[in-house]
Amino acid sequence: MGRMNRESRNSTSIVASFVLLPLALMTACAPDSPDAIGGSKPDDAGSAITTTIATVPPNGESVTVQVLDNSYRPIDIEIVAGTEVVFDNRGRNEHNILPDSAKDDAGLAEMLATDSSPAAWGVVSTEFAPGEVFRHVFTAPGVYPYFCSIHGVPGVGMYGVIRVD
Amino acid sequence: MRLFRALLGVSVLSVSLIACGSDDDAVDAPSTEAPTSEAPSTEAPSTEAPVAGVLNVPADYATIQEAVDAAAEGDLILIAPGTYKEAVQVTTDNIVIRGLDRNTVIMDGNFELDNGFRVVGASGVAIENMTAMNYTKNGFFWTGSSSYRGSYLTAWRNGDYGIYAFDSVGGLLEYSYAAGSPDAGFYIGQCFPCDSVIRNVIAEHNGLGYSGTNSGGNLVIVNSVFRNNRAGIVPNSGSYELCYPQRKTTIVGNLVYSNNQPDTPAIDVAILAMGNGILNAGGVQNIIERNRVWDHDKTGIGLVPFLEEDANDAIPGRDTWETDCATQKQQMPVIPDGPLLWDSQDNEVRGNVLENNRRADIAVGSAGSNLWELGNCFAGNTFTTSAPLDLEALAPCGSPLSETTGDWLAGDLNVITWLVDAETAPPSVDWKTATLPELPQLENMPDAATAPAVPANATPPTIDLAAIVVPDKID
Repeated sequence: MGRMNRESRNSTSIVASFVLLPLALMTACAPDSPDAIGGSKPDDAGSAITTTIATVPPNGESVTVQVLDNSYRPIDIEIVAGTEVVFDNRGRNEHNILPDSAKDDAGLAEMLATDSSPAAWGVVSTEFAPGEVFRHVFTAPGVYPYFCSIHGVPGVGMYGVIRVD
Repeated sequence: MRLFRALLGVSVLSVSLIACGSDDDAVDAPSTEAPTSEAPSTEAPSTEAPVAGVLNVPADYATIQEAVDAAAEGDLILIAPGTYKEAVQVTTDNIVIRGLDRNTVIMDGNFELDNGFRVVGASGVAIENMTAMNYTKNGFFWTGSSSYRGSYLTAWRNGDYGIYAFDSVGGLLEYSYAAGSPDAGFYIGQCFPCDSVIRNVIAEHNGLGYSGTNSGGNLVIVNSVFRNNRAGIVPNSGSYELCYPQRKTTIVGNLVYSNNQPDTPAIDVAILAMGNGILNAGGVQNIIERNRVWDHDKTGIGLVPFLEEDANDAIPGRDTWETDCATQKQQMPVIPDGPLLWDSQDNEVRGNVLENNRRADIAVGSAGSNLWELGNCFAGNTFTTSAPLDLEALAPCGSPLSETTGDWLAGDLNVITWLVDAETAPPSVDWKTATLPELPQLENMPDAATAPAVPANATPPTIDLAAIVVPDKID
């Protein structure tokens, strides 16, 4: 989900892929807590947790997060499931958007290639140059912390969080 | 090396910038010695018992990262001479990371690794006495720090900045050198008040010698050399970073010359700013005083607007310029319909000595605003040319400015033509292959092997600005 959802800011193409979003139940891979999705804390037992997360279809709503040098604005947003978040790179530097569980661009690329759960989302820096837009519909409730590995680490520097009700 | 020898005897610039080697001592671009995870070759690994709080690399820890990860607050990491192909991340507060020899402790990114050192969210981290080169991003990078220090550092041929402090306060960058970065050799950005000092540094062959976007407030740049960059010292405003506008930076006692260098790597803004010594691009309430500035194709000291397309917020009014950065970060933006023009306002240019700046020694310009309403003033400068003409009479310090103080249009600065100039300016050169001065042999910090660890202090040294005189030329 969301892997091809980037564009130049002035482009009008998108969203078509979202109509293909799964409408039924999806299986998440090892969320770190009942709420955090894509976080980096290990679970208590140190073993994988299989959780069934209900997802909802796109609801037509959209909110924008400005991606500046070197911060996301606003840092913390709350949305309802099905809302599209538009990350607009309005800075002059390259950035990426990684779930906290991804270490870097390579880690995200691997995650996106192997994980189809809601925890697998984001965009690598080579696909998110200044002027480009990345869109993602958050279909499952939870907390989605993210960061830019070029200018921060989880929770420090350039980071943000999406809270999906 | 002649240039560095020439620094000898320049008392104002302090002996600590002075090169100490000969041409024969110069270190060539290091080649490939040790892989990232291997211990580098070293000259004299310690055979003594470990000292509490001192972590030796590679004697105690094979890599710098391992030592950093093992360090506790107050520890000193001592790095033996060698080439280290590492990108080190630091998240522990109050540690000191020191090379035993500035010129032979070399961090080499091998054009693949991103930062020599990246300090993220940790405060009190001091990095001393080493070289970082060939990194795709930055040689030394602090972000989110409430105190930091870089001393006796050399940053050479890095892909973004040389020494870079972002969203950090309480900083001291000193006795350091940066060359070959397409953005700035030295950068302090997004902080107010910054409470930071840059002193006794050299920046050359960068896109910009110094850049400071949206930084200021007890931020001083003193006793340093900015030469042979595309542009020298460039404080600037823009809404692509937070905490705008750039404001309240004090620039005193620097040598700024020959910043017309056509063969550097350069970001777009550096190409646009090319040929200027001290270029205040949309900054406000800065003090530019007692600098010596010469040999520039455009202006020696220019106060100009910065045009920002795709701006992210409205320009804050004068009544908000005292608002601190933390408060500003909480404010929601109002995205404007069109581009913004960040005018330079309320800056003071006093007592500088300027010569041979081909468009004008001192200048102020806008792109639509009335210059007399911008509040910039000029006094006591030694100069030959100005734009507009007779600028010190038009815009004296200490008196209200008005349209009637003279002819503001005579010989005025047309900054719009700079946009055209940029189209035909020499393009950026690949940072990986750009011709640079030979990697200089620079003075080591005193007693590197034995000096106690002193983590960065949130209160940087107080600079006696009144005691600084216009420095003499060094070549």
